[in-house]
Amino acid sequence: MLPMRPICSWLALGSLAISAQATAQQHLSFVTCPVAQDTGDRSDVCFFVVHAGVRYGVALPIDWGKPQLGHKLLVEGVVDDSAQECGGVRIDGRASVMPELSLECSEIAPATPDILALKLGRRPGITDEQRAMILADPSRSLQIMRLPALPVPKVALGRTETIYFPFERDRASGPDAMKLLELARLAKSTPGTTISVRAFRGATLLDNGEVLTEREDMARLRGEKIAGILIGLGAAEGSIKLEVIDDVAKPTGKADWQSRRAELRVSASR
Amino acid sequence: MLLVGTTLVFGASAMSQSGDYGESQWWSPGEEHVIGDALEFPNAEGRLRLINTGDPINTANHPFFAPIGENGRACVTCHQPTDAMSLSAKTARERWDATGGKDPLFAAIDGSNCPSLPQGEKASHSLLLTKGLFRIARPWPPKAADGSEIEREFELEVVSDPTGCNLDPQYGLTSANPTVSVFRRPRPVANMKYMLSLPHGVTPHEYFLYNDKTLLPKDPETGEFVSVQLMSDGRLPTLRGQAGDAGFTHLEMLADLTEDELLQIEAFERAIYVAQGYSNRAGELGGPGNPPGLGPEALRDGPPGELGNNPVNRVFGTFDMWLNPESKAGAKPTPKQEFRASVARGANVFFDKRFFIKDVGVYNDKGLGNPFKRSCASGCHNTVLTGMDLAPGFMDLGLNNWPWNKRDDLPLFKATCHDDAVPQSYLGRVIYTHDPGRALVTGKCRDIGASMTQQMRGLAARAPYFMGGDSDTLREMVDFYDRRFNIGYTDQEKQDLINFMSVL
Ligand code: HEC
Repeated sequence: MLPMRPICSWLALGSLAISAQATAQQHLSFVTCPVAQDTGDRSDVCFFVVHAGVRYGVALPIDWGKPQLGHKLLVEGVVDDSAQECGGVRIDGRASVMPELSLECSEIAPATPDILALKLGRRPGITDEQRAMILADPSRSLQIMRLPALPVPKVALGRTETIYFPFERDRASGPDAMKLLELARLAKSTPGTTISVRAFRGATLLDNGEVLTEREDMARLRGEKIAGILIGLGAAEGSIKLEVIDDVAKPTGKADWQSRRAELRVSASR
Repeated sequence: MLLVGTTLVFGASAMSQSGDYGESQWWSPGEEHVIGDALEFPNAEGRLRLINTGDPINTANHPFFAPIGENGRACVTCHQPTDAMSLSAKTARERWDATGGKDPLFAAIDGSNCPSLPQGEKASHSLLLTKGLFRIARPWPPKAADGSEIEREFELEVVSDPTGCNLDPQYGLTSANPTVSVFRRPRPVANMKYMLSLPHGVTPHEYFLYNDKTLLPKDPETGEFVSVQLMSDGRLPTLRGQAGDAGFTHLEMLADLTEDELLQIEAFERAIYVAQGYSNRAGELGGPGNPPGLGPEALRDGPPGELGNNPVNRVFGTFDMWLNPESKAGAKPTPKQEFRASVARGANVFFDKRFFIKDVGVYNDKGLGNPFKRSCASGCHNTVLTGMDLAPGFMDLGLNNWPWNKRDDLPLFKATCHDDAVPQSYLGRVIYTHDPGRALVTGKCRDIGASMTQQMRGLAARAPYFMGGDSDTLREMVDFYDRRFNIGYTDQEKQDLINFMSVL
């Protein structure tokens, strides 16, 4: 068992009514309704969950897939008491939108002064410089200001890249799609390579003892989708070795989200 | 420079009136017009301007304008310059009145509610006459371009069939060639570089659909990835493929378009830009001192495939010069200045006013979260100068599926998705829909009712709006959004938004 520490007190925002204490380094795995948190007129919504009386927010990778009202959320991760997320205790891990409808998940929490004070979900506004530039020459407002690009991942021959998925989904995130792009490029530019794609389906042990197992065809759906993408990106069809692993590893309740994955490796053939 | 073709000359009197703006601007198939550098066409809000970046075109023998099919129609029949290269319902009614319903526009195949109805009666063409809708007949189950059947995830049942076509023994779902008939507005055929460019600067989305991270389709001829901005369901992603299909379906051609015809059509489509050029209330829209995004020249010169939902580009560029009319020591602003200020406020409402975008299928579920709190511009209408969703944006706004929109005049289908299908994210596995949209292409339950965002240019010239012609006026369009997303626009904000859209 990992050491447990109480969460720091700044999270006990009056109106957020956190009654129980969360414990750091603790693994959590549960399904509940997400709540959407309004954060003000000019900022984005964030999502939190309340579990055993504690408000949590899940820190998710870019484009992983945010929670959705109308659906329950599977939360799997480790409590991190050093940071807050959406006005709650941060959980590092993954959150998955359950595919079936749960219309009872419908709460939007209004932006209270406590929440506004956290300045969540702000996006950069126009700078004084930009304003002056446009004032001087309005046509500058149509010179394109691009967002910073996603970093190009480094891939290498013989190295395994792992892509993780939300529960019962085969949608990769933007950064994972970048990996697929780079792997296809690598395969194309290296004659005689094989690409091994090993696709898995996963299972999760919830804190209440229940096990959630993904639908039977999940490994196949993931594997075939990835293979199709690699071919569409120019990898030779015959170079792909697809292995669909339908057997589910026994879930442990710790980082079970890692069971929902695909492993990809480009290797030079002998 | 204004190089006016054979049809059109207008004086100050035609410009100042709204409502009655003179002679019909209808271009009949085969008629001779010259499209030089620019043409203008009066409409209720001012004048639409069309510019041609290619060589001058004589329409007389041009395949876009010539009646090359069996039914006397040309592409121009449904893509009229005066209607921003779409077709307004008002123009359809004028044609009916002018020809007693004999114009090839009303051809039984898709210009009537169903070919089996008695032709020549107004009631048989009610959807075209009231809403500017054409019948789009799609195979069911869906078929791929090569004719192979696509595995479908849902069954379709006809719940109500006001046009009679979906239950028709010859044309319906149970006919020898099972067919779904849905009814859609023509989309404007201009400003095409914006529709056809892959997104820039948002890697990996020049390869991947944002939504489910499948790959974008490819041009079957070149093997290059293509944007799926064309057509409301993305079924024909290239201008060539689209033209060939339109030749068979809309023109009832018996033979393929020739290579030369295809080249001429595509070159023309790529060469023309349309936008409102003059506003009765704001005056000249392009040119120095005015917002840089207005008028078709801005479209000609602008960058396609760019994301404009940032505080500098604001999709259509700045309108700030119109916001606060300079007034000389207490002088009242003129009506023109007041209108311009309203347009500028509308641009700000469009860009800045956020609301909860909730339960939009194929949108909130594409990673953004439900709800997603954004404005019109930062939520969906983000492509620089044209306002489509660059993502690209198939979505079910609530126009095609119940419960947000219920239409008595359109067919209603009950879609029942298979138990193992991923359900539509907010409606589940039983969906009542007037038009399954993208799902008629993909066969997927989760795509039911989703359609592709359209460009926002030339709006004053081509009511009614949305794929099903749901809103007769810009006001109705704004009211739909206000109701759908519970936005709470004030009357002033609504009017400002309408004025803003009227000058695009
Ligand atoms: C009978 C009316 C009609 C005729 C004739 C017609 N179209 Fe269309 N056009 C439509 C409709 C309706 C749509 C929208 C269909 C949809 O979204 O499913 C459309 C869409 C298009 C689009 C897609 C535009 C966009 O931005 O999505 C193009 C391009 C186009 N037509 C070109 C042509 C060409 C070329 C011809 C002649 C060969 C032609 N059309 C003839 C009705 C017509």
